Amino acid sequence: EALGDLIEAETEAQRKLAVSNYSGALRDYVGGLRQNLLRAIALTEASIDFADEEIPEGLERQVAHALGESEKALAKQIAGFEDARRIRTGIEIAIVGAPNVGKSTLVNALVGDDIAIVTDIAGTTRDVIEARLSIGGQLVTFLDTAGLRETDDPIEREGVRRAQKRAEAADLRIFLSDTGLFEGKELFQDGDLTVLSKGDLTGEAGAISALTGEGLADLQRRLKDKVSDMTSGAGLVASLRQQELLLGAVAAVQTAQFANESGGQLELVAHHIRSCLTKLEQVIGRIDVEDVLGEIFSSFCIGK
Amino acid sequence: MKHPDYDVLVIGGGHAGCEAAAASARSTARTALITLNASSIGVMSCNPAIGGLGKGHLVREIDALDGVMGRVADEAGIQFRLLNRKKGPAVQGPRAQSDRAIYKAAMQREIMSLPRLDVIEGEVADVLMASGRVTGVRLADGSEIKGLSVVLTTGTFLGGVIHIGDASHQGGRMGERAANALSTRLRSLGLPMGRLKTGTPPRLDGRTINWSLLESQPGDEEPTLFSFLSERPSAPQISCGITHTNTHTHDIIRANLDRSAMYGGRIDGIGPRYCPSIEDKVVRFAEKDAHQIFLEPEGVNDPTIYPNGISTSLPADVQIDYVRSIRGLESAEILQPGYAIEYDYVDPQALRSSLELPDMPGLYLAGQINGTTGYEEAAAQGLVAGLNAARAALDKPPVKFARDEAYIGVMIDDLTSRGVTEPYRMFTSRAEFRLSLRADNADQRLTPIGRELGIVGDDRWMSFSEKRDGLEQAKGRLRAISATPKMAKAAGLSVNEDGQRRDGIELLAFPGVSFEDLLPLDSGLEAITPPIRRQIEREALYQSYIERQERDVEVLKRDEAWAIPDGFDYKAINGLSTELSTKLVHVRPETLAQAGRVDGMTPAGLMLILAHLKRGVRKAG
Repeated sequence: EALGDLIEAETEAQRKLAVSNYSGALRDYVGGLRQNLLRAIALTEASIDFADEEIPEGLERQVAHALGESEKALAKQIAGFEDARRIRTGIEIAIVGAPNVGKSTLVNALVGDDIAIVTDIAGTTRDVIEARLSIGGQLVTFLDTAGLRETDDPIEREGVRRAQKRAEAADLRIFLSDTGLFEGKELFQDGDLTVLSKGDLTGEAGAISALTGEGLADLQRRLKDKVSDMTSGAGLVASLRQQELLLGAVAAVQTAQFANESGGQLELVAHHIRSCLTKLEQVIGRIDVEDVLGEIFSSFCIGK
Repeated sequence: MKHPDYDVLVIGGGHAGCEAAAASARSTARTALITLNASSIGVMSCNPAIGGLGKGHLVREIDALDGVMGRVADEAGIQFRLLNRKKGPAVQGPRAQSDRAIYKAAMQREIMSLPRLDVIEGEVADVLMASGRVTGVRLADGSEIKGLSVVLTTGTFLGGVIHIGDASHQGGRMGERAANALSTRLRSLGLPMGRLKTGTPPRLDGRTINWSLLESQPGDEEPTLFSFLSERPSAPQISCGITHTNTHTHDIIRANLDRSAMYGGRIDGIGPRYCPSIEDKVVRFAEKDAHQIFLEPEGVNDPTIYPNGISTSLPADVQIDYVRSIRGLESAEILQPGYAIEYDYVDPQALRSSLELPDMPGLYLAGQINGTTGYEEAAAQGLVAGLNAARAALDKPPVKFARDEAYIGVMIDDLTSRGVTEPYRMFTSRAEFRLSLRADNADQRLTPIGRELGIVGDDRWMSFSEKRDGLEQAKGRLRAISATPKMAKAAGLSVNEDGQRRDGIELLAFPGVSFEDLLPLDSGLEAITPPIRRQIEREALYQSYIERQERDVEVLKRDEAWAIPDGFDYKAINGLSTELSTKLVHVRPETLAQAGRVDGMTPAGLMLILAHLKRGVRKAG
């Protein structure tokens, strides 16, 4: 993109980077990645430009090591893409359970609005109702689904079907029951929550009551932890565009690795490393030729 | 004494001055080269060698524009080595040891033979100005010479001070006086200036060296010359000797560090990041037991040896001690002690890309005065300055070389956008378009441009046109080949079995495929000469990479197209930090692209500048 186009993206990224750099772990990560890539390009360029000085043999092995470390670090970021996507599009939490176990009541209690229509008749929530709120600074969408049950009513059946699909695709499910028997168990995935409802009526220990508020604070705390877990791996990469850059960067590193290991031409190894550096500029900052020369001159005895 | 009027005055007859004077004369401007000493024209102050990695590329480019350095270096070349011969063409750099006497004689002959070029001996004391423009110079003897443009190529002579150990004296080069009046004058003009330093090793008497103990380094069996017009070396060829320092050498040096001018604190200024002297090497890389030294003969009939690798500013008595501790040099005699020289330079950020000083229209600066080191870096700047000085005098617009066109462009952009903190040296890693800016294609890139500008003569143009036609014909034949994978296999080539038809150029891009491998596919290829074959192979090698970089070139050109008008008010931009706006005022970038290269520029800052530029354009349009 022309400078003009890139500028805005860079500004945003740099702002994000500034914020993320408050965390010591991320600062170390960025510093480590930068140093490894700087080392890789510096050793390669040294072998090119200072061939007639006393540059030691076997630098390709050191280059390979530095590139390997960089690849590992980048792979970690890519592994965090799912978490990053969640930050971007919001986390979906589906409330699953039989009709009338108190799903809508719970959603309303959590969100604090009368979004869902709460009545005592089974099958009131016809559609999947979405309620948005912020938990710990992260956008969360609650899916208040139709109660799961066998039904002849084609409209209800459609509602149930839709509910199951959305629940399956959601990031987390809260299974609600007032009896201890959980409908929709087959939708359970690792990490999902089970909650007993209507504690005010059943007197069950550990059950929550949306009406009295008993256990609600505890549930909210558990949800906050869950949300944090689901987004903590996001690291530095949040926008789709930046993810593309990262995928491009790791591809460039891998190409450089291959060229380096197969005894390919040094200027092509350098070309690929530089391509990676350009893509990562938003993350690790610019590495220009003066940085490379500085690294070379402090590592090798180069005369005038 | 009354001097005639000239279009262009070049001050200083070093490597930059000679190229400047030659380029100006070729541009048909009436040119005068003013030098302290006419018999010093073409002297190599330091290493008797031309070229290298990055430097060799510059020489090829100078030659492609019909400059003098390449041809002179070939005539004086006594040992030719193509560096990185076993690596890819893009990082191969031609280099040659020079016979100093032949180099000097050849350069003087070139200069004296140019029409419209007068050589005047004298010391320039002042640059004359009227109505804010340069009008000529005044010599120390009071006489004045009028010129429409003036090119300053004073090398290490401006305020030059030579240090040997704790003794120092003014001088531009050993045995030659400094240009002090001019130095004082420039400082008084308020130009941003600084001091740089460089060192040189002791010169040894080759007759007192025990060569039998030492390894020898001959030149390449098939020498690669600089000029596109040269065919073969003319001088006798020699070998260099190789030796090393040892721990005893290092002990001597370490024991006397306080007596070194550069280390003893007698020279100000931050040192370069590399090691300009043996003192630096011994101190900074103490764990190294031995440092390599190349013993370079200064001429076929000259016993002087230049020991490359032991530059120093230690006193003469220490020099003899540490020299004699080196293998093969146990009985060596020193003909001239090594020394350090510090000199004035002008911050090149003050310059336009044409190398003109905007504060003094008509004044151009080129060479070491701009903070570079190396004959080649100086010569390339000289060519640009001389060319532009002439064009200004002849009422023509200035010429600028872009970063994607030439190493010359990379260098001038680096200097004017970033300035220098240490003497600037060219390396291939400075060029982001290194794969396109090769030594082998300098003529294809620049000779047509030079011809358009009128500085490429008929001989060169004829030779180049012939070569270009040959290349086009050959490429045409190759493109006419249409080979299926089966056909390629039958010819002995291993290509992807993907059913795709490929032409000759695409086949050459496969690793290990040479031009000769294609002969079975078209017997007509037999007629194509080896040089053309090799050139096409080189181009095929990088073709796909260069195509991939086309995008980057487009971006560069697009941002180069955003011109920033003179006097653009950075201070008026809300949101630009004071630090940044001060830098921008200092650098005065000519385009948005160049602004982006200013140290510390942020994307947010560029966005603000762009917004203001657009507003200006809207107002104008």
